[in-house]
Amino acid sequence: MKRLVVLILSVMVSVLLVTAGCGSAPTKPQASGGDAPAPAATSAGETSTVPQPPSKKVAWVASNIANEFTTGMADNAVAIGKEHGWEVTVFNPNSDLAKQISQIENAATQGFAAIIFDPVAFDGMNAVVENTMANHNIPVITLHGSVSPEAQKLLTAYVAVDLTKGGELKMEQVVKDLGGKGDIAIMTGTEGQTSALLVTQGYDNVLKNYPDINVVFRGAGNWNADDATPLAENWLSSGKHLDAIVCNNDGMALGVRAVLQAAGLTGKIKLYGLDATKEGRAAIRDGSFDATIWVDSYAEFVEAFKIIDAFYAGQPFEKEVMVAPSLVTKDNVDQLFPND
Amino acid sequence: MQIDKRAEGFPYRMHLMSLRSAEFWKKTGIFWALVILVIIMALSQPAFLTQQNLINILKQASITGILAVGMTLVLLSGGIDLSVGSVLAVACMAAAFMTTADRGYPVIVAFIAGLSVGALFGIINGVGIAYIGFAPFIMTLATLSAARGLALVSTNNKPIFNLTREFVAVSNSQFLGLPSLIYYFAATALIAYILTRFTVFGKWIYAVGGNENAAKFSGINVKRVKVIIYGIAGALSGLTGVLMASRITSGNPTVGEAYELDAIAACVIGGISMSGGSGSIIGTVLGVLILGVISNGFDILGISSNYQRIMKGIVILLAVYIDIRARSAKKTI
Repeated sequence: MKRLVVLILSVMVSVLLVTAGCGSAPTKPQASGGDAPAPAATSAGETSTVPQPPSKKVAWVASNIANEFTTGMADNAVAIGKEHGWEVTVFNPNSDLAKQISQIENAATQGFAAIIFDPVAFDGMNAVVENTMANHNIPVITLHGSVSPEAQKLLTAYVAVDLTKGGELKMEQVVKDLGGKGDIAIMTGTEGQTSALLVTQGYDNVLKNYPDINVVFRGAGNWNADDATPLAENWLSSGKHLDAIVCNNDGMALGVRAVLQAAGLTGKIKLYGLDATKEGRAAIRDGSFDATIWVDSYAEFVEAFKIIDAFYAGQPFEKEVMVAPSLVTKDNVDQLFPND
Repeated sequence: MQIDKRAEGFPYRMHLMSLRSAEFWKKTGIFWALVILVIIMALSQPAFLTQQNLINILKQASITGILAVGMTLVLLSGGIDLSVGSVLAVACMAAAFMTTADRGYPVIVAFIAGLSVGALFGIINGVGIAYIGFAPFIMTLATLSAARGLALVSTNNKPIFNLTREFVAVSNSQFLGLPSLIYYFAATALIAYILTRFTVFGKWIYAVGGNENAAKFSGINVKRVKVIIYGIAGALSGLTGVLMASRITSGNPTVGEAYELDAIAACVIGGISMSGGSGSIIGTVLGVLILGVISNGFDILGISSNYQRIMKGIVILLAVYIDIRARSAKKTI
């Protein structure tokens, strides 16, 4: 019986190989095409070297879809893609780097016309970017996050909110609210992740000018309220004095808010988020958040789809687009978000 | 099927054939499950059966596959290893540390570093389980936590990047038209197959998992066998860590989270008994391929990965159900 299993396995493998062999013929010219015009364009003959989209599908490979901001990103991707005439498929690697690499490989070989992705990690994508750009003549764009300079150089374009700038804007507001002196705690996103590093870098850029602002705690709340809640509880129960808790995103700040409310400390300890999600804006309005930063993923996707359209129209486009972040406080929230 | 009714001894042959076919389906059920899955995927998405996509599936399944091979040995011996994903991360950091452009040690050093770090954790697991008497679940749960922490503190959460070209080529090169990762998986599976089927040590693994006391009284050094098994599983986690570092072109301390669950799932789908002593590497390989096909197929179909998780859950239960039915059917014959 074991022999039978082995036999069947080998038959399966040979069938796979045969199928693979047959499939290889049509894909080869595409693979060797490199950055030359796509096969569709060459077969059209008289047309110029403008690449033709292989399909009407665009892949949005998220970093995760675990909080209101990233959920909003996925919605924006689909909605804005539709406006531009693309059918957007959302991939969710759940913050798993290897999974994200696989999804990009799959999207590229499946004939997607463009890939937009938010890298799980800054340094992890070199090989997949190299392979994808060498074998597929489609626009590949990083959005929100970025990859290492060498990989970024190969990519079609880069669209992002200047997160470090956002971190700086927010920390300046913190310093202003505290009058340049006080004890604060910093809650970061998942350790080692690009966007957490960039935002926190912005904090530190400002903090080094204010020696009287004392950072009592630094800890990772992993972008979500579940992990932020126990962390904030532990900080409060340590008995150390705190004037403000500064969070890398609104999702964690919402978790902290519940802890502050339960402890009767709302307003006594100032609270800062980032993203200006819908709930975050409501928290600004009711005074439970003191400030947040509007990270405009809508504007990011508008820029990304402009680039894709320009790519297939043979028009020039910017390789690097930085969407400016804005500080959101009680004073300007209604002005920035009149439709809430 | 045409049966020649004129043949002599027809009733007897019929009986033999039905016996054989029952055995046949039991032995190859999981293979047919894979075939059906492939057919479904191919019908619903023509792009599925392209050469490039099939290669993608094999490549992407390779890392889980190597972990699953190690897990198979542990499960066969009646244990479990929850620490593989975290050990992978430590080995990933170790390999990346050795091959940054400014250190620039040859690729072999990365392999030695990764494999020995992995084996060390495996041996610690084995000693804790066999000599101190911690339950495998507890011991490896502790290692899961500690190893992950070690990966994170090793660089204070920062990824290690800027690795040498030679090292990046380890997981990102091709040989005879196939990605190198596939060869690592194939070689690991083949060696493990030979180990479990044709060596004395393989028989010891099954003996320890089947009935530990009986194994002890028959003169097998159960404790040492266990330490070696966990050591092998650890070394294989180390190997995947090295391959992962090359694939993600960096050392990242957060990689491999929850990979132990995929490895265990692949084994269970492949018919490895959770109580030890029964199952084979071939089953595990098929289990790995089934998981790979599900995850690739769902990506292609544009179905959210959340549904993949639901699907995985259903497949696990289904596979074990088929296994239970096959076992009880065998008893009634």
